[in-house]
Amino acid sequence: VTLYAQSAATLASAVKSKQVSAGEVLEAHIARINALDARLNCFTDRTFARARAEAARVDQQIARGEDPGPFAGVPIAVKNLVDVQGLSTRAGSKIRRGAAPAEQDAPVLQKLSAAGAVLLGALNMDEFAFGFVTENAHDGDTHNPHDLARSAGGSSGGSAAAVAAGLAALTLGSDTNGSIRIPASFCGVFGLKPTYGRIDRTGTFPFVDSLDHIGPFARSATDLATAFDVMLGTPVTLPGLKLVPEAARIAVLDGWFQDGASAEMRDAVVAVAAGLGATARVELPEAKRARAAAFCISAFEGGQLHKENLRTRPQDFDPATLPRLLAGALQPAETIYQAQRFRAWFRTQVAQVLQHYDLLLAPASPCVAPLLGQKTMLVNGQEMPVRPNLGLYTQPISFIGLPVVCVPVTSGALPCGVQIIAAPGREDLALAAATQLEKAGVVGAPIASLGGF
Amino acid sequence: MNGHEEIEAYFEAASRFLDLPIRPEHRADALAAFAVLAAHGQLLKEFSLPEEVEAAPRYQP
Repeated sequence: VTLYAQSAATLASAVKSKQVSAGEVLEAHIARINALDARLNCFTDRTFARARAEAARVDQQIARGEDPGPFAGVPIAVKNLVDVQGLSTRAGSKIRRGAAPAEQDAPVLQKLSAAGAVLLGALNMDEFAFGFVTENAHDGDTHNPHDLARSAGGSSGGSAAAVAAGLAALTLGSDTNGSIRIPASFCGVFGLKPTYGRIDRTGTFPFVDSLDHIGPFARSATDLATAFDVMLGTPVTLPGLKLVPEAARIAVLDGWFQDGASAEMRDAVVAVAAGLGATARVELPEAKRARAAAFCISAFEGGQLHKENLRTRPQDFDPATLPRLLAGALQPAETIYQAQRFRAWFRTQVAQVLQHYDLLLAPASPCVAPLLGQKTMLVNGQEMPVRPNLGLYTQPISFIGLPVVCVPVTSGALPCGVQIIAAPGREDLALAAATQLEKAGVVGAPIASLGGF
Repeated sequence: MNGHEEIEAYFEAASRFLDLPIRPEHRADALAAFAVLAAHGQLLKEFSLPEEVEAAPRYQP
């Protein structure tokens, strides 16, 4: 049995039934990391000593007849903006490398650990989470396990790539404008961006307070649901996973969410819609302006957050991040006020659409993973810069905090992610649809082949 | 709609007024990034929202 290729649920079940020990599961993952991560560059920090102690504790609990929890012996890792006791929470930066080590784990990590998870380490990201490519000037680029020349997406690129490569069964990332959904799409794994405010962000380094979300990556929708319930602290999702909305209540997003998408991304949405029996199409009004407003608010809040360092040590920022933070901080108040008013209006408009539909479907990204360092891409026949435009379809959704499960369609040469979007608080419906699609074989997250490794 | 000249003039003035100096080696990239934001801001400015739309948060049970 290839342990590193199993889902979190399968691993936990095998550990609990004593088919394999947590220690054996851990060592298989450590060996995989040691064999592959020099090529992938997912991990910035490795916590193997801690992991061995945690795995030993799980094995002791099982020997005593106790239940370690739903993630018994499951190897996990977290984006390096999540506090890990004893590590500096660097958030992809050079500036925070010397920060005082975290005194305790972030509550989300505490909950996963209490559920039996074993922490392997912390993962690479775009500096301060401001990017979609995980090309980090300080820590290097994370490579896409499906094609090492391509981007893993960002900003949670290390989190998505680690799951796709079988380095960890489950990881945590964050999503402000698409930073879970874009890397999930590029790396062909499942990702959940929960409803804004629903998962505790305490102990995680912010980018844009009013848009930040913490969420999991996994190779199955059930694992996402388990992680969500564990982090929420109540089992609200798993019991309802069979309750998929009827097909008439599911619609494909048209207009803005179709216009610039490549043929393979559009085909992926068609496949997911067909898998759910959905035939309706609906538009969200002014999605382009919603994306613009998210763009302005993000740069503004991010710029304000880092203003003192922008003043005093600009040379220590990633050259890709610095100009956008500087520009963001200088925006006129009028723009931000208008963006906030627009957010209230757009939320109301989309709420009306969600009266008619329980789930909305859209591509996660305009294209499959671009090459690392690629500067431009074609959108609607127009050549556009890659970095700022990968979030065209994710930004309008996180702008109003809606929950999204990103599901991987892996029938082509490279994975394509599709967003399954629900009303606030209805992660259960999106996860149920993702589970149904997974069972039907429409979506799935096989381990990247990595040249036979 | 503001042209490049107005955008650059505002950029310089805001940098001074907000005490956020931009080093010469960072100026071109920061100004380019600001022009992108200004274009997005223009999209918002030219959209007429109903008067009753508020930026205030709502607290729902």
